[in-house]
Amino acid sequence: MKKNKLVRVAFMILPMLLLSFWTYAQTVQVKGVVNDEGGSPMPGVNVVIKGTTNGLITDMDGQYQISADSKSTLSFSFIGYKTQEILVSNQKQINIKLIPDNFQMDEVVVIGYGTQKKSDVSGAVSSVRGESLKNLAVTDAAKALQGKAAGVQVLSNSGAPGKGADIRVRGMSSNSANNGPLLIVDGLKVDNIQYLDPEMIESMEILKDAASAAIYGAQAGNGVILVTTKSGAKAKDGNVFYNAQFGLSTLSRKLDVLNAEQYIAYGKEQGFLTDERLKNSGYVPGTDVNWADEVFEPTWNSRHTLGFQGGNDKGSYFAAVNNVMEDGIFAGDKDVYKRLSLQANGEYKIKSWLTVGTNNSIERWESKGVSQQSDNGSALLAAITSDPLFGPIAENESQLTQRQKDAIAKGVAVIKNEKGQYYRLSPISGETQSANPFIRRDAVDASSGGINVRGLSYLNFNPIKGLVYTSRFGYRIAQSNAHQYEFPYEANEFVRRTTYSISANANTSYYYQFENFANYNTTIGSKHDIGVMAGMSWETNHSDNVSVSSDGADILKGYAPNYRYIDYLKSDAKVTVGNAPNDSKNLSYFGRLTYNYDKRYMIQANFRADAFDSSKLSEAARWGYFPSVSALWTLSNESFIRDNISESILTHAKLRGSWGRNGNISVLSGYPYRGVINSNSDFYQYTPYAGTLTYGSVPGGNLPNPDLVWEESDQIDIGLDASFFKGRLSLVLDWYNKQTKGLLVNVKPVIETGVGNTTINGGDVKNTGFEIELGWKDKIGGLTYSVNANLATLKNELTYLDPSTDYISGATLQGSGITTRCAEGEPLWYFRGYKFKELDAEGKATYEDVNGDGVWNSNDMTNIGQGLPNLTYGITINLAYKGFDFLAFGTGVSGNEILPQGYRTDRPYCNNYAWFYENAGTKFPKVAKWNNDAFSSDLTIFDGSYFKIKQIQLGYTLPSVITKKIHISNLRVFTSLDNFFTFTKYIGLDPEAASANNSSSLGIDMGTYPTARQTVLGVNLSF
Amino acid sequence: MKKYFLLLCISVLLFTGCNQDDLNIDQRGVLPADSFYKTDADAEAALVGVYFDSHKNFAKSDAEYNFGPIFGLTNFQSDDMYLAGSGVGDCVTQREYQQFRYANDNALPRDAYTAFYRSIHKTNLVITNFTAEKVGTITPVMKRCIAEARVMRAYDHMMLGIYWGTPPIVEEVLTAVSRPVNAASQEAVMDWVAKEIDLALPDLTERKGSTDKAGAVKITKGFAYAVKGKALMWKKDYNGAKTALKAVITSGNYDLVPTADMGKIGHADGKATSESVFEFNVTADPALVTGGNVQLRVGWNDHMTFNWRFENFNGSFADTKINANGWGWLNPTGKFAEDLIANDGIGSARRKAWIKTYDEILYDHQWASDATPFVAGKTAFKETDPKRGVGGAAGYIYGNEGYFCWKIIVHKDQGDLNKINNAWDRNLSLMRYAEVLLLYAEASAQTNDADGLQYLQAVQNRAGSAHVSTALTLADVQNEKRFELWLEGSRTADLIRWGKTETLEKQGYYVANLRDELKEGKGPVHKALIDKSAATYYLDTYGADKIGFKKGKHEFLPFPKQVMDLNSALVQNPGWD
Repeated sequence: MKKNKLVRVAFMILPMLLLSFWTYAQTVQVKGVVNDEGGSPMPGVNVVIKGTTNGLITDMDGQYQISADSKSTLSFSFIGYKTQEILVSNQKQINIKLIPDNFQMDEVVVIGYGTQKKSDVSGAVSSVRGESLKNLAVTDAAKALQGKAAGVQVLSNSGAPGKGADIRVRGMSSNSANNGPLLIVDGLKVDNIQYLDPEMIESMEILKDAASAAIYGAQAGNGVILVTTKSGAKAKDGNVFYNAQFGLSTLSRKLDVLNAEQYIAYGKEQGFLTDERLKNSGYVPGTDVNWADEVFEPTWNSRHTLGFQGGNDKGSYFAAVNNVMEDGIFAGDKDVYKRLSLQANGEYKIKSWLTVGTNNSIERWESKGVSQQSDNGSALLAAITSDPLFGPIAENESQLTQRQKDAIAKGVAVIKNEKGQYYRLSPISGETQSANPFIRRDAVDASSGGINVRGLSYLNFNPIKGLVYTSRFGYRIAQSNAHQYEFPYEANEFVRRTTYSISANANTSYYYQFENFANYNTTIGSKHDIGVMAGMSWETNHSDNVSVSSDGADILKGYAPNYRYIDYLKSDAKVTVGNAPNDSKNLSYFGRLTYNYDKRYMIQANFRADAFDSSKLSEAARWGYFPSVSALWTLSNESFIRDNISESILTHAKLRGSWGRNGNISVLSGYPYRGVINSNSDFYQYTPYAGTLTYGSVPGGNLPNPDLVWEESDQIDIGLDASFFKGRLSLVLDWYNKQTKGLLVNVKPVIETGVGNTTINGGDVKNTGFEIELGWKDKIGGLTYSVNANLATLKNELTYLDPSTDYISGATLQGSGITTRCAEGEPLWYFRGYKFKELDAEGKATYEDVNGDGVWNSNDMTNIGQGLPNLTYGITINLAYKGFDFLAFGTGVSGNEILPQGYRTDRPYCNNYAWFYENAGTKFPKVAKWNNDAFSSDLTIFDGSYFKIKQIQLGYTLPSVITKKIHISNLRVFTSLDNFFTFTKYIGLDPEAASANNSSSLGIDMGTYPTARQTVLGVNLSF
Repeated sequence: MKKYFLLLCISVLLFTGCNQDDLNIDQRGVLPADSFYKTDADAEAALVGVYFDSHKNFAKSDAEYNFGPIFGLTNFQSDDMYLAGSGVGDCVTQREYQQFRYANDNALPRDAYTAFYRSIHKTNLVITNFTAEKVGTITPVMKRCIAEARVMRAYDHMMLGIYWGTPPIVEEVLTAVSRPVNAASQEAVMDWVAKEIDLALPDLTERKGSTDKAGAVKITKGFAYAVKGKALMWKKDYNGAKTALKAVITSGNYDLVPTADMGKIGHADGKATSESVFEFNVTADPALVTGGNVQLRVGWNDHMTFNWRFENFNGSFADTKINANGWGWLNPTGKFAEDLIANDGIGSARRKAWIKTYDEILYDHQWASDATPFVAGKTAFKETDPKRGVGGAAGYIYGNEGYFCWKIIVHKDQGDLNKINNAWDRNLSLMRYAEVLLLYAEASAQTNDADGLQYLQAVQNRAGSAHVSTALTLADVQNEKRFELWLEGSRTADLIRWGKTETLEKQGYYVANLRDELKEGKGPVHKALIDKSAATYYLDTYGADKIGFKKGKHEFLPFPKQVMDLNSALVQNPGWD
């Protein structure tokens, strides 16, 4: 493992910085005491020099002492109290009385193409602040969102290093694979936010309802997430910070598999094992291999962030370098993710009427992975399907299978470990599609990496009061490379290669968006606030990818590692190359009108018109129009409320309602409306043995449908925001009903057409749900605490499907009749199979005659579970006492099912899960009575509900009296236990990772990389 | 100044906004549909689509990787084989089909039905796009392309007619709103097929003699006549059939392969032989072609599917003739094997090419425990060697009565295997000359015309059979068809056409397992042991009313549920939902 370069850089820079502090330490010593409104001293109050993180907290007696520049401003803040700011001037003593903050309604939230005061937000917008993203062990902004906002589900579809998470806002509205929200970072549309370290983030806003999202029109059908990265603040002196984390990752749960004794008993009962066979196979009695111990190993991960920020009246800057190194828990270094990223944000006011700014991120990444999630075998699946009788390593050649021995004799590779020992295949269960996890791991040498530049530069004109005209240009430039090398080897019938193969891919792409919009806000009289926004946007995407590969018995001039590049192909190697640039473009106009009367009633209307390029819809159908309207009534500003209910009980309350329409573009691609001929796409060999190819041309795959139009979602949202007891208790309630119409469905036309599919607008989906966010914050003596909880329900249903098709088929599995489907009246991608009724006298399962026709057959397959949870929730607890802070954060889901697919009905010797053996004859059929029907029933479906304590963190901030002496303004050390506790009935490795997967195979666990448990040590340092 | 900037910005906005034409992006790598179907080259290219797509869809279905849908459709209901695999839990859908227990949603007939209509779609693209109305002059090249497509379309309809009776006759490119209706009758389908062939014949080429390989892998007059003749057999127009089939015979372009080459039939070494009337050609060699679609056209998984189930043997083969693993889906019934041996004699070339006895497996193949160099034949060591014979994990071979299929398993020594990973490099035959001769012989027998005898005898003689007919009887032709065309798709359809469904009516009642006497401790040496008490009695499981061929129902397959669901205009066959 490489030493972390950043650490070295940091340590080179640190002395210089310290030196500079010595030089400029011409400051005023300020001291004082902070009291509450009753006059008692307040310990633990943050005293910070504004615009820096230079600061400290008050001691037990509410006292502080800080050195500050005479022109700087001191900021005194405490949770639940109004922040006070005092200019130092030449004061040596500043005493403060903090007033409780009834409601933090002046907080500004980002909405599309503008900002709004939180009190004026009429849609369902969840806001996640940077404070709650601090010190998380995750390095991915998407994962950091998990459990933080009601109605936002984050699916870590794999615990593998560098694998991003999927985000879903308010369920699934479409049968398409992409149900993720539109992601906007500082105004730039991005394809993922995995690159963004949570430490770079100032805030994230989730636009959940259609009215909020409608300003993004066609792309907003699955919600919008707006991310704002940090910026500098006005201050005389800048701030330098350094955060570091080291984490030890281990397997979070044990897999409930058969031990050797159970496996043997099971095998005998099943009929594939006899004492004789055991003896002949070379089984050494007493051997009991735990594959999880063999496959998973503890690994170290690290993350460092070094940042600089500052600003003055004219401008501000924020720059941070972040370095992440993750090594997955699969043994060996074939699953790693490395990322070095720089975030550089700056803004400057050139003229009183002109501000320029730019936000940029530069990322360099590298990734390697092991295979997972495939019922055709993978490294991870092998960890589940290998039997406990034989270990991973053969002690000598006699322990190899005949096929392996034959291969050695023929000079074909049989894969060995680094010590030169052969990997062993169990004579009992080695003939599987997974073989041995280490063979799976080592049979492929693949890596990928690249550079991404993402940024946005803008000009804000302010020609007259209230009018801001913004012209901004956003860009993404991506370059990546991937390499793969494979070689001939023998393991078993399924896991083998007969040829060498090598491939290299170079991908380049750019994206830009050019947006111009004007915001005008004015107040007429004292009661009429009016806001107008109008603008346009143009987006272009261009990619140009080149791939080269070769496959053959002898393709390279040499096979040593330094030859494994395309440059060293033999001249007669058959080479396949690929290149086709791709473009997509879209044009939009949008506008917003806001009218607010007397801070009591507000109404807002959004409109957007979107046109996408000809690859999606025909010219006639290309424009989509997306209107929305929302209204707000601030009850607490009504005199009949104010006069009757004290502000100290009901501090603030507003009612919201909205209706809006959004689109979905991810389902449209490849000119589906248009009939074309794929020229020279097929061939026939008119000459036997000679192999000469004669090319043919046929129509493109699907029957074209010229009538296709946009898929649209209409959503109604009703919400209530309230806070009570001077802001101690806060409450947000939302109810929504989202109807997606014109779902693009691939249907089969009559079979006699001879064409498999055509795309129609042929389905409707309904998502309804109830969301609640509840917070409580208070202080008891020196202890401050807060509890925030959120919960969301979801009911998802396909309400209509075109009569030309009974259902939309999803995933099918090998060795099981269970499929996933979308059908009218059912949730999207539910599991369809037999419903177990009872065990008969012989211990064989019987099944419900669901359709009641007196016969049990395949027509009795029914909904036996869904991969989509109907309840998601999260809870965060914060405690602070003197220098100590404590955080506990948990999240959970319920109502979903998981189908573990480690077993194969046709290969009973690799069915290692203990559940069906340990409960055989009681809960489950007797071992010998398991058949295809049982594996096609809800006997193999498990409750996927879980509650995970994602993080328990304890931090300690050293007293400033100590840190000051070493010229550090803030030094915090912390330790954190991540993913330590999971409460679930699921039998697999990780219900969270297992329940993800892509839409149509949602909830199918085919050997998913589990989320690791991590013990984290970290430090936050600022100067 | 500020106003100037503002105006500038607004003009930028308008300027950028007006650029709507930029949204028109040309689709890459395709031709607009209306620019194709114009030239001779277009006609040839569209015809390749017929060969490519028919082949691909016949050889592989959307649902099944283990066997081709046409192979399954035409063979899996045969009374001369067991669908076996690992046991009751394996090949479930297919076994339902074999035992006539299937419902209208069984995937096997559905996929075959789909495959024929996919082929028809591609043929119609050629036939209907090159009309005088659309292209002006129809050139000779276009005429030939149309004729070849027409024969393929006729073949598709003939097969649909045989299995479904009254399938819709589709003569145009359908759209999503089309709802084609049933043909009037099976007879009408066959009549239509014959007329279509007549339309095609003038524009077709002939195979250039029996050594012309290219002429065996494209549609020729010979294949057209064979299809017409076969179709007319179902119309019971035996004289018409005779005329058509005789045209194939007298063309001189076909000949039975020599007795010594019988073992090459259906294998990589036996492509486009003198006996081939039409087969889809593919050479699965990565040096020549790359890409997955070749795998789809050769048996992608057949080599595993049909190969013997070695895991249920004790010890392994050191034999290089066949692959070392298999799922043993298909075994001859004991009755078939014994009838074949009784008819042909144990030493006949045909018997040796078609099946293996248990003894041959035990003693004539080299096992890992055998000495090298290997000497074939029984020895005392081999007879008592515990490391050979049936055993393995299960201890028995399911659906086996002591005989093993040899005809359609991969023969490594014939170059069958692995030129492209996991694929069986063989051609998919639609018509073999032996079938033409036997169809002719049958048509003769049906019309008391002794002319057919010579051709029946030719097939028998070539097989090295001990039984050579001296007079032409229908029974002898039926017998010969059963043996010669075993697993070539004729058996079940013939039995139904002849009304000889007695065996089908009891099909699947009982499935035996092969054990070994030595292994079971029931004898001193290896010997096949059929323990009837350990067999599977599907009859007991399902009852006589739910298993086996039912007259009045199983003469035709049901129109698949999915087909019926989508096409409201279609009428289901009698006895089916």
